[in-house]
Amino acid sequence: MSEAMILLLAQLALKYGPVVGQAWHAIFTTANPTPAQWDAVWTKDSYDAYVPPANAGAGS
Amino acid sequence: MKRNRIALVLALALVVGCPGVPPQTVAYRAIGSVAVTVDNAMKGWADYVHTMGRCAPIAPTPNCVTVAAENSVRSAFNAYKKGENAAHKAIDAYRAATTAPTGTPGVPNTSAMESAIAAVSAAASDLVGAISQQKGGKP
Repeated sequence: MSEAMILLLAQLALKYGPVVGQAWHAIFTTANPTPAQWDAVWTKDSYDAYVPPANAGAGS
Repeated sequence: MKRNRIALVLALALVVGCPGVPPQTVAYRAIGSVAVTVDNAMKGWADYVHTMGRCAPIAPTPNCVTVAAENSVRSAFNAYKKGENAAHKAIDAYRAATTAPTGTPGVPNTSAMESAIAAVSAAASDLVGAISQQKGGKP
C-alpha cells in the first residue's frame, strides 16, 4: 500500500468516517462471505457512473 | 503521523492475513478493502468535480477541473476496473473450484487469485495517486 493511498484513507476517514468505518467493519468481520456479499463487494462499472458527464440529464 | 501510518498498515496486514483464515475470506477482505477505498475515493473525486466545476471552453473559472485532469483519473479508473475484472474472474474460478462436488475437475488456484488481487491493489494505489495529484493535495 503506497503512501498516497494511506494518506487518502486518512482523509476519507476524516470526511466519511462513519460510512467508511461501517463498510470496513462489515468486510473485516465477515468470516464466510455469502454470494450476495460477493456481488456487493465490487465498485461501479464505469467512471461515468461516479462522475456523470456534463450533458447527463440534459433531456432527450 | 508516520507512526499512525505504520499502525494502519500493520492493522490491515493483521486483519487481512490472520493465520487460519480461509483464502476465500482473505480474498474477500482484501478485495473489499480495496473496493471500499476506491469507491470512496471516486465519490470524493465526484464531489470535487461537482464543487469546483468543469472548465468552460471560454473564460474558465479558477481551480476548475480540466478535461486533462478528468482524463487522467478516468484512465486510472479504467486500469483499476480492468484489474478488478481480472480479480473477479480469478476469485469466481477459485470459488467455483472450492465448491465443486467431489470428483469434478478443477483445482482451486490460490496463487492466481492472490496475483490478481495484488495487481488490483497496485492499480488502486495508482488511481488514488492520480486523484490526489489532480486535487493538488486538497481533501
